[in-house]
Amino acid sequence: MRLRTFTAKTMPEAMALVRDQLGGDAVILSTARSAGGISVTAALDHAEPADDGGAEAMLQQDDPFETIQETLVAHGTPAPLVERLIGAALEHGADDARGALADGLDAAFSFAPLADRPAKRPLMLVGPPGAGKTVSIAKLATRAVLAGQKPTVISTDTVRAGGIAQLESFICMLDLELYRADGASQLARLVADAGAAGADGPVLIDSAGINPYSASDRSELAGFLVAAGAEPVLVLPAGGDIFDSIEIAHAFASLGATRLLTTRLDMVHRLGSQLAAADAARLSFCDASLAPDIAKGLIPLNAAALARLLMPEMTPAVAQTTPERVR
Amino acid sequence: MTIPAMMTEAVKSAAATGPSPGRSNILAVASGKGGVGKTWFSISLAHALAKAGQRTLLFDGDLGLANIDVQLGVTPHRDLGSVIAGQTTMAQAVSHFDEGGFDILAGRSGSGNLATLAPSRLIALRSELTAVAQGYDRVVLDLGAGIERAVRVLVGRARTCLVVATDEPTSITDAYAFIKVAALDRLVDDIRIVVNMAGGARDGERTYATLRKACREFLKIEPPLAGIIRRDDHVKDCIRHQCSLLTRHPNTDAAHDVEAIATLLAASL
Repeated sequence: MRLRTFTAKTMPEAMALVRDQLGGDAVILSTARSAGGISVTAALDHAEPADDGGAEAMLQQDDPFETIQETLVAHGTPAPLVERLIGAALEHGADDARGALADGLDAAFSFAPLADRPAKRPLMLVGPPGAGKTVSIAKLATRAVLAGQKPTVISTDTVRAGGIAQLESFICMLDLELYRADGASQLARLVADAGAAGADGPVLIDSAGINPYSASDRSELAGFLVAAGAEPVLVLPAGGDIFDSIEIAHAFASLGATRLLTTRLDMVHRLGSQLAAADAARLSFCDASLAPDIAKGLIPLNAAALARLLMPEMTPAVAQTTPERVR
Repeated sequence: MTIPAMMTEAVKSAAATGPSPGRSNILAVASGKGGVGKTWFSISLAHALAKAGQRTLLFDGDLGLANIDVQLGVTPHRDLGSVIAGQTTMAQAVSHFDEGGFDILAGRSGSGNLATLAPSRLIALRSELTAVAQGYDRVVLDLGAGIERAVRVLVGRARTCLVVATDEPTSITDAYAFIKVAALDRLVDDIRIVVNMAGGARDGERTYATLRKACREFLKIEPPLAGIIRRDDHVKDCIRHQCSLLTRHPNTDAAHDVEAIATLLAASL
């Protein structure tokens, strides 16, 4: 900012001096009467950031913690969470940025991939409409079949046009049968039958997307969960508004969800809202869906895998702007 | 749950899980220009907060030209220099200033290398400060003049940054430059202005109005006024005698003005 005070006998004269010396863009900051007449203090500044390039440019690019900070900020991660992650990363002291970020993530979050422990309870994928639940069920069923198991696949999404048809076509390809449950009691029976038949695979239940703010939607879903004795797993697409994502996560956590399955990573490169939602609602990351193709499957998430998603390329350009396309 | 109720829950939970615990109680004091009474104000503010019953730490973040210990006439055995050298932890380097009833973490004047610490060391130092801060109600962080890297990194953990300015044009432009960087780089959300060495309340308000108008016109923000400290010769006297104004001259204009700022801060934070 250039700041100057001009004194003249009259206001018009003082203003003429301001225009003459500082130009038409000058802003009058104050005026006062003085011994010489009128004093006008005026200033001129550019709207751009300070020409020294700002704090970030001054920090060395090769400092891993600065790279982490830039990456997390580029992902739209809330500032307090960024600080906590960096603080946790610092305590471990890995030399490379991605390794240090993984240390930070490991300390700040928990990870519980769906495949890690054989599901004792049925898994029910829950979430807002369009989150990718049905595709994720198909991916889980595929994974089970490839592992030599025979999963039982049930859908409660019987109202939405095409809800069943979409899943049925996937399930047929796996040579499985898709069961449909129109109500909670029917779901309870199907789950009991699967148990009685001694099925060796997981019971996977697809659900209709619900509005988490609707009490009737929530209680209907709760009815299904109780009837099936199922673990709800929240399917949350990346790229949502941070506060919306946090509220949705809270709503499903109140229904018993403890794990978060991340979807839409083919189209979304900013994971800040996922981090914020998992942090706020204390959800564990389980798996991530990188693309809608069933063949691409789900990747189990641990701290290192999440760090790779957040920091796919280690070039300065990535750190400065936006993460590169997730591989 | 209604949406507003959920929003409140979300905010509550965000408040419970992050910001890093120390963030909420660090008050940074910056000035842009040197020689406007920043360190004197930091000392007096820490003293006023301690007098008001707050457990207070005064942290000398002026890594290049530290002089809190000089102004207070104390010679701490350990200081930030020993922390950076790895000889002590930050908590061990804290000493108690009996006369003022607050703790001090002194800097080390003249150690040029402190001002050129690598960013990761600075961030580590800042993390350690955040941890130490948890043992206090308030931490007053006396930043160096200017807007160098160390200042920018350290201010990033502050809940509030008080920018000290006087009516001198160079002070106004330098205070503005600091606010500009802090606001554009989002270093700190809550920036407030302290006008020091004011000829009187009206003069101080005029200085504040000038700075506020520059911020409004060019940065589209309006940092609020934290308070005005009147010019007071007792300040010079206490600096010369290396003691705190609130000890030597507690019933003076400047002392009352600083206590008013401390009260306002305590009420609003």
